Amino acid sequence: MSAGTNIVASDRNFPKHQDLVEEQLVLWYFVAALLFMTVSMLAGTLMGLQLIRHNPLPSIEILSPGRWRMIHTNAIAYGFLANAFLGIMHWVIPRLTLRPCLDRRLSYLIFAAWQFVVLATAVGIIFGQAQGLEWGETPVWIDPVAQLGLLLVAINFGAPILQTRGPMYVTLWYYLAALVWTFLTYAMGNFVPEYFVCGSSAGAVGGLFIHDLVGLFVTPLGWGMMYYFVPILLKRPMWSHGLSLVGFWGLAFFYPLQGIHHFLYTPIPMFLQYGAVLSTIALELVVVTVIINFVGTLYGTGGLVVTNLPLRYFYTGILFYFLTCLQCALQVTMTFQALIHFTDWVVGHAHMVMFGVFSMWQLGVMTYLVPRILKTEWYSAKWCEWHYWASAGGLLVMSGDLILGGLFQGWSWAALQPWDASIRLSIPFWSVRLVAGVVIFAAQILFMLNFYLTWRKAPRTNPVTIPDSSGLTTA
Amino acid sequence: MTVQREPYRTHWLTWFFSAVVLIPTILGFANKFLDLVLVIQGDEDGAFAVTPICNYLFATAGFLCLFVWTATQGAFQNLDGPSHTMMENEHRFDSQP
Repeated sequence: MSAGTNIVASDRNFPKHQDLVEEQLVLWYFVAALLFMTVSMLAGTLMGLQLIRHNPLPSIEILSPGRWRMIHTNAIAYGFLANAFLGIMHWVIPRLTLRPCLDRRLSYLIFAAWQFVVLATAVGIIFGQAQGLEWGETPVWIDPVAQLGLLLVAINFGAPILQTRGPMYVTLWYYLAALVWTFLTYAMGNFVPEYFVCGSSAGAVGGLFIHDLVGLFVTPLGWGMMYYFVPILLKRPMWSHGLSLVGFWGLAFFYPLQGIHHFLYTPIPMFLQYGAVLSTIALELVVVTVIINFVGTLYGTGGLVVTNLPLRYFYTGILFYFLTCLQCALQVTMTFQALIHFTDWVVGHAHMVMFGVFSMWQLGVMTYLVPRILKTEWYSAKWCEWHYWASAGGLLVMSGDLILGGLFQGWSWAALQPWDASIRLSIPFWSVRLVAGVVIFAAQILFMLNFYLTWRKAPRTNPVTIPDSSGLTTA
Repeated sequence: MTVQREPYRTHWLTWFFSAVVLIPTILGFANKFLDLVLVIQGDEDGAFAVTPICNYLFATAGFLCLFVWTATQGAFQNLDGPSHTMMENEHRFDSQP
């Protein structure tokens, strides 16, 4: 029988999990992701210290704050998020398609190549080779390697997806699109402004790139992941698979143009700016369908969010996603944009979406998968709880603080106060941000320690315990 | 696990949101695209905005083709079918020794 997701294979032909999923590689990706997250958060902490005028590394050019900041953003995007997504895809895609990835050796080659790309990017940035585009700072000599790596990723994961027959589950739609979008988005942002266009046109393309990296790389991989794990943990299918397809196609049609909304009030023609505003508002309606679907799926089983830790991560991320999209609907209006442009509101928004949504989801998946793969319960369930509360609480404080601080900055500038005045009023907000950041950082260190100790106590041969869906208790 | 038909309310909701999202947006984009044509005709300097618009139209045209192809392949016939199949397959994976 064909291995389509809509077709149930007979028992005799049904593949074995261990023949499909390269569990060791999933763990390796998680380890790499968490290591890069440490680097990113260390860089973020140093930048936070710089903002309150306590730079711990003064007078060292290669460790200057501007470079640390780029390490912070690149390591979280390409080091943490990308690695974690790749690891999770190695679990999800084979189980959904009932086929392994194209080639096992290629999977390991991609793993090694991706770590090289991220490390080389960090080294290049430290030594001043960054390109002048947010999130596109990757040195020019790494761009072709990264582009080739993304092509290999698309081939390796695309092969089993394209071999499925019949209607696909929505997760595979999201993943298939992300494989294509990420390749195209990376090419657009790293090659078009560098070699083909300049000036305002390059700015417009840069705007598309920055936001498309969130919307066409991170978002589809994130939602694809959620459409897979949430029904499994709730032990019930999505409330409406049809509505989930509305979400997917809505993203496909409306997301690509909205990047320009980062460049409102710039020399880019107003019709293009309004087009971005319009597509952003259209996407808010799409977001509503997604939120309704996940709330509808949870309906009647809400208590599980309290008792099941991975599920709590997922729905916390969904809540933050709703909040960020609500912010988006406000901040793309021209009047509101006039107030918050260039302020820390945007920084708070970015942290809420990248950590509060996507990182929380990935940490939730790790909390669920690590004990399953290692076939033992977590070393400390209490540490897992601490990790959740410190991450969610720290992020709530950090983003709330930055959003509020951004409003004060905007009002200060609107009142034509001197620049120094806005700096002075920002110091308390930046201090609170630093404390919240350190709490989040400490939580991740605790999680990594828990991960290490869990791995160390895992059985080497036959499994002796099987964790339940919360990943915390022994069956 | 038996394959269930999609409830009437979710079927209705799917079409409702599709209409709410698509109709105003198509009208809006058509209007703004007309603005683009006018800018290019009246001001050569404005032509640089063609780059992002072409990127967008290129991507959207690709997805429109994919969408039409998907519809012709019957992907929207039994909308909840893949969801139930996924759950059943997961159950079988988890039942393996």
